[in-house]
Amino acid sequence: MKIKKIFYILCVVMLLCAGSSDAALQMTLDYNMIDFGAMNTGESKEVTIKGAYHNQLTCSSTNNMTWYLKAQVVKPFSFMQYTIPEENFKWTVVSVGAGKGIVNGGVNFTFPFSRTPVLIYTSDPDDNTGTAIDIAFRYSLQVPDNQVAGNYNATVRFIMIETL
Amino acid sequence: MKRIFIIAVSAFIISISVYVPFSYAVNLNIDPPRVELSIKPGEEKHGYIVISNLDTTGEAAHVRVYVQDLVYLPDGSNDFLPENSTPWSLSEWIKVGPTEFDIPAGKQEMVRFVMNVPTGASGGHYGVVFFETGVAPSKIKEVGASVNIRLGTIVLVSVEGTQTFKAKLKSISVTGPDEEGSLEASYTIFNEGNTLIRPKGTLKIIDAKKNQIDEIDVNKEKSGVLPQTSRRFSQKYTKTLPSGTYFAQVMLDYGGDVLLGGQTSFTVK
Repeated sequence: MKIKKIFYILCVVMLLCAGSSDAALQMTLDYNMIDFGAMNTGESKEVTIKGAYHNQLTCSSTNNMTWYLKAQVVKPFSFMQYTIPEENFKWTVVSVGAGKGIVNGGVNFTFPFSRTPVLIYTSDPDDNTGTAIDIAFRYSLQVPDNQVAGNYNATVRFIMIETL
Repeated sequence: MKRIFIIAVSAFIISISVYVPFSYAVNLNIDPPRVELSIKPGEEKHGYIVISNLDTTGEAAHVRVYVQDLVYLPDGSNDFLPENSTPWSLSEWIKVGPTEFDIPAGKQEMVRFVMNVPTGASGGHYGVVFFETGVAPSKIKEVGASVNIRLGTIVLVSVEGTQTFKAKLKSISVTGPDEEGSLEASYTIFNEGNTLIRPKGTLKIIDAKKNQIDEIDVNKEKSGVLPQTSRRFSQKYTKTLPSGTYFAQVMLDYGGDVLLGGQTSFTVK
């Protein structure tokens, strides 16, 4: 009898937990820095601090609508009045766990960052019922040969939204 | 009974472990991601969007809220434009608040909106309310980038009793086969009305003897066409057809009084 009671209480607690996690549109970023460290002019560097990838976005939706993920550079690498061209800074989707949607260009295809948001991933109907989709990235930067020395910083933005 | 207890305890542990997120740098949730309103001219409606900081590391999230216009891109996604840059903008009708705040870890903030439709307004109006995290103070000493995220709630407003649904099929064509042997049927719709339409229907493949060879659903995703704009849709056909002349016939329901239809012929060599 006591065990039965505990069982019912646990069931209620489980329902409450499920009810409070109604992630309508959720995005998680596990690491928000892309640190290339010291670089020489003319040097290219790729960062993957977690082995195969650098950071990971986890996206989920429970709204049964197609959503997509985009990336853009909000502020290009700049130091005082000097900038590194946006196209020298690139991102690559390394893996997409659990997602059945479309990776723009496919996994391991490299895109240059742009001020205009570039499509990364479009969800499949199977993705729109709460599946957490892990999208892992690596990044690379090429410093031009004649770049003025300095501490260059950029800002990148990831956007998640449903289609209209 | 013992077994039931073990199963229940296991289920409880699993549910807790699924519910409690791991430590993340940024973890935001918005609810709802879409708001659809029907409002009479001269009236207003209120609502709210809840943004939650699900971070468990104790980090507060600094969030900025703002409205933008949107347009369709050829890939089916949207581009976002400054306020009042489209004919279907709702930027002047919507007020959101608060517009900048910190959310402690594990807490949420209610962002209220008031939608005020002016007298004389008509049709459909569209926009997006963005929630964007602030850029964290840079810890980068040499060369590096900070990453932020933004989530958007799509807002669709219909001005009650003023919507007109009118569209035309501007073109239809079939190209290919490509290197993979697929044909591609494309058609362009022009939305002559004042509200978003979502034309969906079928594409029939008919042979020279007028026998229907195949029928496939088109625009199953219910992608839209904004007022007074054209949009090209395309559909791949991967089955192999024997050599000959065929017709591709498209029939679409966009919500108007009549269906849109059109056909073109193509040859498979």
